[in-house]
Amino acid sequence: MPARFPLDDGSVVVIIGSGAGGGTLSRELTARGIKVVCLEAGPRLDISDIVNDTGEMFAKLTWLDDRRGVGLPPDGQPTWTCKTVGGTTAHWTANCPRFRDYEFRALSTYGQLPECNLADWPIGLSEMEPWYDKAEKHLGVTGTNGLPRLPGSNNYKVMEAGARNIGYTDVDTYNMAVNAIPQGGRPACLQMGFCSSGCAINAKWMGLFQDIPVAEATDHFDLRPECMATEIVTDADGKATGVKYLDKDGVLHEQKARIVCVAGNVVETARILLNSRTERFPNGLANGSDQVGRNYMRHVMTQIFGLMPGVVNMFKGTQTAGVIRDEVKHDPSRGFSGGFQFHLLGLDANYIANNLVANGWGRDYAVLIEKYDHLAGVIVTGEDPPQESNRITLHPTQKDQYGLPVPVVTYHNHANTEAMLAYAERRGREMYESLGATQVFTIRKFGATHNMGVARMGDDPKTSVTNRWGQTHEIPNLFVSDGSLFPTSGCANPTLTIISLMMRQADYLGQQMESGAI
Amino acid sequence: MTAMTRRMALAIIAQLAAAASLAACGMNNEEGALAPDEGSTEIETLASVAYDIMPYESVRPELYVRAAEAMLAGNRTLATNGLAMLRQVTGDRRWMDLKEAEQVAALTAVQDSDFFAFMRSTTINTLFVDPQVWDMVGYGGSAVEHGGYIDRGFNDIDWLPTGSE
Repeated sequence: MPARFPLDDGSVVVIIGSGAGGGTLSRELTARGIKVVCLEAGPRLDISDIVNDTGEMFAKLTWLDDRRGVGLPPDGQPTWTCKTVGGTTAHWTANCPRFRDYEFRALSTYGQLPECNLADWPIGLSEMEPWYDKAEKHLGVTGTNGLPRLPGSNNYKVMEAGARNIGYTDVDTYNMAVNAIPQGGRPACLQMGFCSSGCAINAKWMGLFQDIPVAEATDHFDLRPECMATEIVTDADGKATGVKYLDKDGVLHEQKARIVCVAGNVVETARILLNSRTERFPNGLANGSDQVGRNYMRHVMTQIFGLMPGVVNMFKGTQTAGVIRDEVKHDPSRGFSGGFQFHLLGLDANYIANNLVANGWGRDYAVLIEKYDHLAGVIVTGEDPPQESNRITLHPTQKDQYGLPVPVVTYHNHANTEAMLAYAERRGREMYESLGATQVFTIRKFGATHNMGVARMGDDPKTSVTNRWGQTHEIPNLFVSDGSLFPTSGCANPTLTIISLMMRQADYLGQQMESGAI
Repeated sequence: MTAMTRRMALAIIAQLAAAASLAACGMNNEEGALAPDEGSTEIETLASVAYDIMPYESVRPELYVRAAEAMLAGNRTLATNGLAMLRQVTGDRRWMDLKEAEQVAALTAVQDSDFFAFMRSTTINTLFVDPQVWDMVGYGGSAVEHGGYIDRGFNDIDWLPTGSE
């Protein structure tokens, strides 16, 4: 049953965030008998709270607190992440590719790009493989461990036909943490098409229902929803001693800790590290390298829609169950470094009416939107070259409802990104036009749901924030436990890699605690 | 339902706008409440703007009035400033006296304004949560209570070249 540890119990591990990072770590550590206090800023929902209504679920799940965007990220909604128990696994569409071998060695493979901060990961694919194996089993990923893949929807069939027409061959309905058959105590997908609003029947894997209850059953897990961590407290020796947080009544508490793990997703992780500065750490915690908040990556992304000669009904079916992998490679003859995927994308009528053409309106636009059911869609997900100037910073004057400085998300496209986008959009257009599409649309501006890089791993404390385990170089009992760790982004959807890294971090952390090292 | 012309839609919008602003006055008598004439002109004009933004002759006119009311409830200052801007652009002519092409030209002149952006998103978000509009564009709405689409055509595509299906 759920535990309750006193605020002055300094033997607990405090984990900030309960998503892919914090939820995984919570389950893994409590399974080893370790006491965990998990502070989650958002509320705890129940399966009955999940409805097939994109607007209602957007309001229930999304992190809507004030965030500024500078450059590509829309101001007001620069990121699309979740504020709820289970974090962004509430709205993820459950795509689970692994990083490729070359993607762990981006610097060695591509060479440094101009005005870029590429780095090799301190670990490679062979080190990650056993953890990828473990994570795929845990998530029940289709296409692995004998699990069949999902059936192809109309939108998928259009994508596949177009792909083959232009010479692509590595096309299928993808590795998904969405059941094609009942398994893992969850039913099979009914092709409802509301994946990014939470799955109302629990066919899609969500941490709220898969990690949290398992942790609670150990009697070592104290989950505190609607508790906003505001500061990590450090002592005169530079050790983390606890975390201050505001409860849902706005009362400030301090939970003592033996170890602190920050898993707030990129914006909150950067913000709390920067905001917890002291005399000893004037640039923020663990920031001797000045890399905290920097190298922010959000994947190169563009949504491509084709107006097809017949009905598609892209809303009918698992939103992203389809992939074209042929462009996942480093081939500079295409005019850019790194690779990208196409994956399927089905979206609802309200989103399309709002966004198909930027500021579209009037008779012609109304006529276009009336053909919604003839639209087919894919999204490009491409490697995003880290730039120090792409970063999360604290607003100098604006404060949010917690009294914390508002985060500012600054991001501009690298030239490599512009070249990749132009190429990918051309190929997407070719796919749809090969099947008779009369018009093709692209949407590039939206809140990022893949957020990575602001506390990168590395062997060198001068150029990285944490070691190869996610342990910060400067504060041995302070860990980073989410996608902030990624030195480079590859083109793989990040969640599977985050979960795998956290299974591995838990193993290391458990050993370190047992030996008394931390 | 017989298709409605733009003229018919706007006539119905005028009636609905008058009724809506009477109701609003009745519900709140605080200082600063608009007189029925002023109020109905505001709602009517905003509803007409909403129609120009996403004109659908087969959508019931009350949805455009609903969008206008949402605009006023959401940001009255932005709405009234926007109407003042439109009066400026049209040389103070009465909005409902303008022909469609003149209204479109006026809106084009302000299409980069915050007022227009808010009017556009409010209009779209009012229309595209309505089941009649969903039917019109072929969107299915909530699916869980119907068992999803696994038995309702999620993979029934029939126009791809043979060998693609």
